[in-house]
Amino acid sequence: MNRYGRWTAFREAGFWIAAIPMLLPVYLVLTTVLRGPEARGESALRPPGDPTLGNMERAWTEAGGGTVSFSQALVNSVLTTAAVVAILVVVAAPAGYALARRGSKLSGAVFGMFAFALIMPIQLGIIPLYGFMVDAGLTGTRAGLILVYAGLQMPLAVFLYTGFLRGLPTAYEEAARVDGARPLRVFAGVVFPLVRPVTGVVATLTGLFVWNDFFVALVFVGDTDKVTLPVAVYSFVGRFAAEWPLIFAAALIAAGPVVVLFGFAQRTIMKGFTSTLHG
Amino acid sequence: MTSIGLDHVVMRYDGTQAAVDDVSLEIEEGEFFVLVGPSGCGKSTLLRLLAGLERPSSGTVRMDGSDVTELTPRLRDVAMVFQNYAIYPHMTVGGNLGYGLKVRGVPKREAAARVREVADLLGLGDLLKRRPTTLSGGQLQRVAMGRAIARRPRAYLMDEPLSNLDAKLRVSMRAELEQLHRRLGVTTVYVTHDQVEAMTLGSRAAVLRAGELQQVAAPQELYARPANAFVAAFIGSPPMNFALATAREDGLDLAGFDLRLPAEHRPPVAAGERVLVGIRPEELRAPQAAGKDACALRVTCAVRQNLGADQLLFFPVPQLPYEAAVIARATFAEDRPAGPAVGSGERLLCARVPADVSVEPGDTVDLAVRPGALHYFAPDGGARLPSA
Repeated sequence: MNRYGRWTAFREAGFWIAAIPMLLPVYLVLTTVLRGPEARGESALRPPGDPTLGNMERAWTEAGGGTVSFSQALVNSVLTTAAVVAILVVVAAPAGYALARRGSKLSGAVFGMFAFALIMPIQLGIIPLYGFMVDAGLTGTRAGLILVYAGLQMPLAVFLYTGFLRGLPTAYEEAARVDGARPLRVFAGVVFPLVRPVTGVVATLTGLFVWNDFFVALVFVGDTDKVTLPVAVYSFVGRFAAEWPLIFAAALIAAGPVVVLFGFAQRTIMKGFTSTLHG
Repeated sequence: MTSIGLDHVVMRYDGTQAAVDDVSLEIEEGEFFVLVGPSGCGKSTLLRLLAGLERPSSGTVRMDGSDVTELTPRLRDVAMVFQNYAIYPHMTVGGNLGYGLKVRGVPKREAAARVREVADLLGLGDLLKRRPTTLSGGQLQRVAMGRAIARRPRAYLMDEPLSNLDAKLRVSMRAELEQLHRRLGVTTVYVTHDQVEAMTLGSRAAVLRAGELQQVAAPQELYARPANAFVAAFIGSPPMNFALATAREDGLDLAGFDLRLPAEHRPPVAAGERVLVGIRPEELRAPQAAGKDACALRVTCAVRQNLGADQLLFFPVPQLPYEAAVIARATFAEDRPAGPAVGSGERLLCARVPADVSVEPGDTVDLAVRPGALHYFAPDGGARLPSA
C-alpha cells in the first residue's frame, strides 16, 4: 500500500526542505551547547569535534545570575504553571457550561466580553493592573503571578469550553438528570468527562503560554525568588553577556520538560485539537 | 406501579404557538400508553413534561394522584429512553446500566447484582466491560432500555426508541418491547410518529396534532372509529381514501359513483348536502369478497404496487380543485408526512386487494365497498359524523 516510490521520496524531500527554518536554529543551539570552551572560535555551523556536556552542567549549577538558582526557577515554573492550569480548568469548565446552556441575553453579553478580552493585548492594561497589584500587595508573590496568568488566559479557556459545549447534545445531561443526578453531579459525572478533549487543549495552550512567558513574570515577580525559567534564563544574559553556550544550555533545560511531556501526550493532545475543530 | 395524569397542561415557549395545548390525560397503572402524531405535534414535549425536564406553562402533572408538576426529574423517579439513546460515551456498558443506581445511592453490591440481572435479561451479559463506541445500534438500544430497567422506576418514558434502528430490527425489537412490558408490568409512555408502532404496541394511544389531543382510544378503536378526518388519515397504512360526496335520498353520489345505501348507513346530512367520505384501502375489495349489500365501483387501474401477499391498486376519480382544498383542510394534509397524490382535476384512490387478483395498469377493475365501511366527516373541520 504505502510503497516508498519516487513520489513519496519527492514529498519527503519537500518536507525536509520546509523543515529547515525550524531545524536550523535547533541545530545551532545544540552545536553551541555541545562545543567546549577551547573550540569557541569555530563556526556555529560546524559540528563540534569534541562534544561535551560541560555547558549544561555549568548552566545548571553555576546559574542564578539573578536572584535565584536555576533549579529553584524550574520549581517555580512547574508550580506556577500547574496552579494556573488547574484554576483555569476548574473555573472555565463550569463557566463555559453555564454560558453554553443558558440562553439569556446576559450570558450572551458575558460571552461577548470574554471573546473581546481574547483579542485585547495584555500590554494595554499592564500599567493599571500593576498599580492594582501593588495596592493589593500581590506583586512579587507567587499567588499574585498565578492570579494574573489565570485572569489573562481565562477568556481563551472559557471561549474554548463554551464553543465545545454548545455543540454537545443536551441529551446526555438530560439522561443524567432523569437518572437522578443533581446538577453538580451532572456536571462532574457526565459533562466534565465529555469535555476532556477541550480540557486537554486548554491545558496545552495555557500551560505552554505560562511556561514560556517572559513579560508577565518579569513585570510581576522580576528580581524576586519567585521568577520562572524564562526570566531566569534572561538573568544569564546580563552576567554572561558573551556566554551564549550557557544561555542556550539554560534554554534547552527549560524546554526539556515540555518536550518530554509532549512526547508522552502527543496523541491525546492532537486528538483534543481535532475534536475541538469538529465541535 | 404508577398512574399518571395530566390536567389542562399547556406548554408555550416564549410567546410562540403552544407546543402542547390544553392536554388532559389519564394513564392507568401498568398501561402501555402511546403518544402518536406527526413531527412537531408536541408529543416529545409532552413526554419531557412527564419526565420533569420541562415545566408546563400552566396545568398540572400528577403521579399516583399527587401533584408532581414542580418536582425535579430526580424526585419523580421515572426513567427515560432517548431517541438517540444518550448512552454516556465515557462509561462502560456496565457503568451506564448502573449510573442511575449509583447516583441514587443504591449500595454497591445491590447495584452490581441488579446490573447483572438486567444485562442477562437483555442479553448484554458479555458486553458489560465494553465501551459504547464499540457497540452496534441494536446493542446501544438495549443498553438504553437496560439503563431504564435497572433503576426500577415508577414509569418508563420512551421517546421514539426504535426510530434509529433498521426496519427488520425494529420489528423484532417491537415484539421484545411488548414482551418486556408484559413481564415487568411498569407503566410505560411511548412516543412515536409511526402509526404502526402505535397500532401494535399500545394498549391505548393518544393522537396529537399541533399540540392538541385529537383522540385517546385503543388502537382498534382509532382505526375503526376515528374521531375526525385527521386521525382517520393518520392511522392506517396505506392511508384512508377521502372524497367529497353529495348525499341523496337513497345513498351517496361519490366522485361519480352511485352508491345505494341502506338507511342505517346513510350519511347524517340532508339530501343534496356535501359530506366528506373516507374509505380504507382494505375496504375496497373484489366484489365476491365484499358481501351481499356491497356497493359496486368500476374503476380503471392507473398504478399497481405489488406487496407480495397484497397489491395496491391506484385509480383516478374526478375531483375539482376546491374539493381537493376542502379535503386537505379537513385532514390537515400539511401536518401529515405523505398525503395521497393529488393531480389536476383528479385524485388517486387506493384499493388493497389480494395479490392473486390479476390486474395490469389500464385494466378496468370491479371493486366493492360495504356500506358499513364508509366513514363520514364534516367537510368543515373534519369531525366524525355518525351514520344516520
